[in-house]
Amino acid sequence: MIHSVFTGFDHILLEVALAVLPLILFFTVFQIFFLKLSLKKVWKTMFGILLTFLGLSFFLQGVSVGFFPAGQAIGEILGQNSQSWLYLPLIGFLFGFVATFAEPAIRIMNHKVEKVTAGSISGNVLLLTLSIGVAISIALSMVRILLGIPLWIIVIPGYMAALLLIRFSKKRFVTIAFDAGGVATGPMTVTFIMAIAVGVANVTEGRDPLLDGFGMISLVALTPILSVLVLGLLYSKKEEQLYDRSETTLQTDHHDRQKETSK
Amino acid sequence: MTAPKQHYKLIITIVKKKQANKVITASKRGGAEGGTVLLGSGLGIHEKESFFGIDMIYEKEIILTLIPEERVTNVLEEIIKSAKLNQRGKGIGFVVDALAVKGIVHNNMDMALDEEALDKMTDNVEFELIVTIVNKGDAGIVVDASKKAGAEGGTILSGRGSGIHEKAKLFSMVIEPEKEIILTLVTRKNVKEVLSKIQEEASLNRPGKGIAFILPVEETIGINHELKKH
Repeated sequence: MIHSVFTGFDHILLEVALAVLPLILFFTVFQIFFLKLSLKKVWKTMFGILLTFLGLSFFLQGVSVGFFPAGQAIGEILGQNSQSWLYLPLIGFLFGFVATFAEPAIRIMNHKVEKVTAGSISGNVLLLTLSIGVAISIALSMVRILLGIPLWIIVIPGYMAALLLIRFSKKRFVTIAFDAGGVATGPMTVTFIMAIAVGVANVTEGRDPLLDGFGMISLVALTPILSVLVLGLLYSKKEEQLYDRSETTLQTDHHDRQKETSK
Repeated sequence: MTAPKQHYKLIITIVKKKQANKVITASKRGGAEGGTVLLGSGLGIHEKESFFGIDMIYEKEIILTLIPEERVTNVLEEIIKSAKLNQRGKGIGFVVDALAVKGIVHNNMDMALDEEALDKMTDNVEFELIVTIVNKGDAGIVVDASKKAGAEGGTILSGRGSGIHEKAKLFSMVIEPEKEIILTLVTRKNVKEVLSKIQEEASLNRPGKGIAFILPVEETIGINHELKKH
């Protein structure tokens, strides 16, 4: 049992080592020439890197023996049922929501956003927004696989909507939104949800798992952008109510400061 | 109408992260009109210093609440009740005297510099601290204004908060806009000038623009060029 769980672990260890090694290399170079941190700090950093190495290795091993086969099996069972179109989008929505909620990369981003905005944009709100965004994208992907809609029909209008929303959303949210798109396609979502999609596409007649299963990642990258931009829209609407509209003279950005004060 | 002469106090509360909103609601219940929250990190006496050789830093929130003197006890009681500050390890709070307040426009309580209070302090004190809280993006204006009036610099912190003019809610959660807090250490003879310049340039006399107040300073270190003059 234990043995079978760790099959291929050596491979994963090598992979993670290759991923972590450049970071250590960079750190060493910077440490020697620029940073010159104290020994205590170097030790702490190294300990942190060791934890990362172990964590990543175990996570990826877990994915390859657990998440991936499980997801695929779930997808196949769901797809085989003749009435699958009834509940597949709903299940996709649920899985998308839960997987994003657990996504470590998103947690880190939310933490950073909270820090930079001094808690004005709460991490929990952002987490919920992103989870809903990804959930919608998974539901859409399920519909897409079931009906055989080409990807571009969703992706092109989606990005056009995103570009349009930029005009109305707050600057701060635009930057968060486009980062969120990348962050949402993290290890949890990709491994678990994509496995399900590939599984569904495998058993659905006339669907190619390669063409129809993989397109969903592009949707997962798209919908968080839209959902965060919409959140930004709601925020700026509310904040507009806060300030008197006629007194917008001071509502300038740092960049305009020179102009403002040199008058 | 002559504004009633009123003394303001600044309550500073430091609690664990995510507790700040509780404190703000409590202080509003006690009669405060708003509050400003800053993020920070720190270590209390009941918290472990390290874990597996890695230093632990605990995230904290610092809440600044400016209130008239007669409501202090009320607000403090509410804060203690809701944040359980009377239990160990929950947080701390303290009250500082504010010498002058600008920018509280809505109830005519704007008050001039309290000359008496200034005079009462010892003569060897050369400085006062002006704290200005404005909307995000306006800090530059405040720094420029205070430099024009004779201040030598300024330190900007970022925080969030809500005043009496800001009560927006989105799906039952309060929206707290980002704020910038500017600390300006000025010599006593420049205090009045700097404060009124800040008020003028950042339009603090209009509602919703921000507030400024003076905190007494007892001693300074690190301002070396001033010392050399004497």
